[in-house]
Amino acid sequence: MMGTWKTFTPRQKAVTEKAFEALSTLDALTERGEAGGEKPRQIGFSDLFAYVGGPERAMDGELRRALDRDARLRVALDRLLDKVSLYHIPRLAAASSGLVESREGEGFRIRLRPSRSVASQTYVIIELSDPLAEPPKTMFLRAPSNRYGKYPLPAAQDGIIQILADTDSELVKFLGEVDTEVFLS
Amino acid sequence: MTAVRVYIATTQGPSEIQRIAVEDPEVRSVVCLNGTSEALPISAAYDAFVRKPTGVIEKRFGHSVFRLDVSERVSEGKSWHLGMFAAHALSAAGRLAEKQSGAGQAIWLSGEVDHHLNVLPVEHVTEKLFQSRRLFSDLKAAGIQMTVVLPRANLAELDLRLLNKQGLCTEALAIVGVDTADEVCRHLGLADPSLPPALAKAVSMISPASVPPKWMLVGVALALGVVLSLAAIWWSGFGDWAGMAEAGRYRRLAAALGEAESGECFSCAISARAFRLYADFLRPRDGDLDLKLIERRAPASKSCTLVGIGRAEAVAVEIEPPRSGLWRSRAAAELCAVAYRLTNSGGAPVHIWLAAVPVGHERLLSRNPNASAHRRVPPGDAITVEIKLPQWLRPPLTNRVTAVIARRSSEDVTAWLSSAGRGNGADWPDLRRSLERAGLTVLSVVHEITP
Repeated sequence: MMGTWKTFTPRQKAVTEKAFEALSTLDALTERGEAGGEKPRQIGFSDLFAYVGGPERAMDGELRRALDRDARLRVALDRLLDKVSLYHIPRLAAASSGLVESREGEGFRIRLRPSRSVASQTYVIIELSDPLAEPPKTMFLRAPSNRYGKYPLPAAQDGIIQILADTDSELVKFLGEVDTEVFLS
Repeated sequence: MTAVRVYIATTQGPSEIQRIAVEDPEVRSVVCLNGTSEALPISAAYDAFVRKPTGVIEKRFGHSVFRLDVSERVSEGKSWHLGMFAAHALSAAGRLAEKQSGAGQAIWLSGEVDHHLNVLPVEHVTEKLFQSRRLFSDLKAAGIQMTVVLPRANLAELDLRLLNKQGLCTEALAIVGVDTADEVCRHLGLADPSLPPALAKAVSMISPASVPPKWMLVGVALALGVVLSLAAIWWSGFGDWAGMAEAGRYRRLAAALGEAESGECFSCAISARAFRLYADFLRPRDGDLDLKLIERRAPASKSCTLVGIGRAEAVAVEIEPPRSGLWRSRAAAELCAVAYRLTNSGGAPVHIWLAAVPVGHERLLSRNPNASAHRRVPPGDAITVEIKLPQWLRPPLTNRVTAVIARRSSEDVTAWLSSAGRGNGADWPDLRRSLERAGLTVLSVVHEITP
């Protein structure tokens, strides 16, 4: 099936959600079968789906370790993020280097603006080209060395979403790196 | 004058305003918790309370973006308006007691403030007062006078006997009812915030003890008349437009000026005229901008192909802009490329958008889709765009060379110029009018290249 989440019709979305549910049930059944053993719980598609789709679900140690060791899981997560994201900025071109203060994707722009009043803090400003477009609610970052970050977004005001963060936080550091991929969903 | 500590009344207890700091106009105003990077959910509402046209803080105190820190969470609702307004008024007067600095006085407020600075009643006042009992007794013990400020309508509903019976010692509090936010300022001994800051300062310096001679009174009256006229011009839009120009919001500026000039408001039209004079004064002078055409031709007996592969060096010829506004070049004599260079010969840096737009020959120039540039150009520096010409030019080629010069960088100008698509240039006169209406300097020359 081609296309992305935002291009799906309501019917396509409903079918996709049912498919996710089926896969999640399968994951749960598999997990139950292994519950008695010593082996660590297997991270499956349902965990990835919960991470991407659940606003409260953060990246826990178990999921992080599973992503570190399993390249296929990372590919599955990347694909899922790509499918559900409303906006996406791929990694910057190889010719770019060092830190960036501004990133642009189709339909939006992200800027980093140091606070004037508190030197250790930085504003992250997401500007949507179409203020009437559906605003994203979560930002996912995929930094180099397979690190992922998930950040809930406040409501947009006139197409602008603003977050204040510590300058040495992962969020600001990741966004400042040219290799970081950005997904807004 | 004593510093005043400001508390916002909430049903969870009082929240102290710890600090107000000016922020970058590029960001939105934000309310943070206790100096951390945690932005409270009321930040969006606070931004709207600050920023014009909805907000009142920018209108009164002249800046559009602030960061405000509070000691405790302040939830949704609008009763924080009055406390934040008072804190801004005190901060503008240098009298807000910030976190860990001493205060000689404290003020506790609850009230909604509308666009005209009327104070509207709020709910849960009794509950908020009870939640602040500890603060009131602590301040009393420290010998700090506490003033409670409420909307007058709420004051009328307060049952002081009941409050006292339940342990809130209202005798120790000065309780004030207000109808407008300005009344709070007067209560705090602040200059009338409805006047522009410079005039408010001047008024506050007039001492009632000094009795000047008559001629001086007339002089002061005349001077005040001039200042009031200037203030009227300022408040009729000039201040807003200057702010828009400073922030590079030229689209809004053009629309606002157009509205002021065509509307029925006489003082707005005068203010718009004054702003045009001001904008003209800031424009680069004649001779500050030097636009040149540079023809790059292949040397004698060589071809542009050889120039293109680096086997021959092009000869550059600089040509001044013609009085007629029309450059003419012949491509037959191995014209390889044309460049347009604009030099800033003035004394101040400017932002220049320079573009060479083909008129009616889009396909011919498909090799050079980006014959445009924009950057800050310091004095003595230049910005150049170049177009490589097709090897076999058959139909004549016409470029419209346009330069827009501004004191500030502006995405509005970029968007404006992008909106002027290629084609027959029919939209250019309208676009030029819009740019000039926004106080921008526009240069435009047509360049015809014939085979």
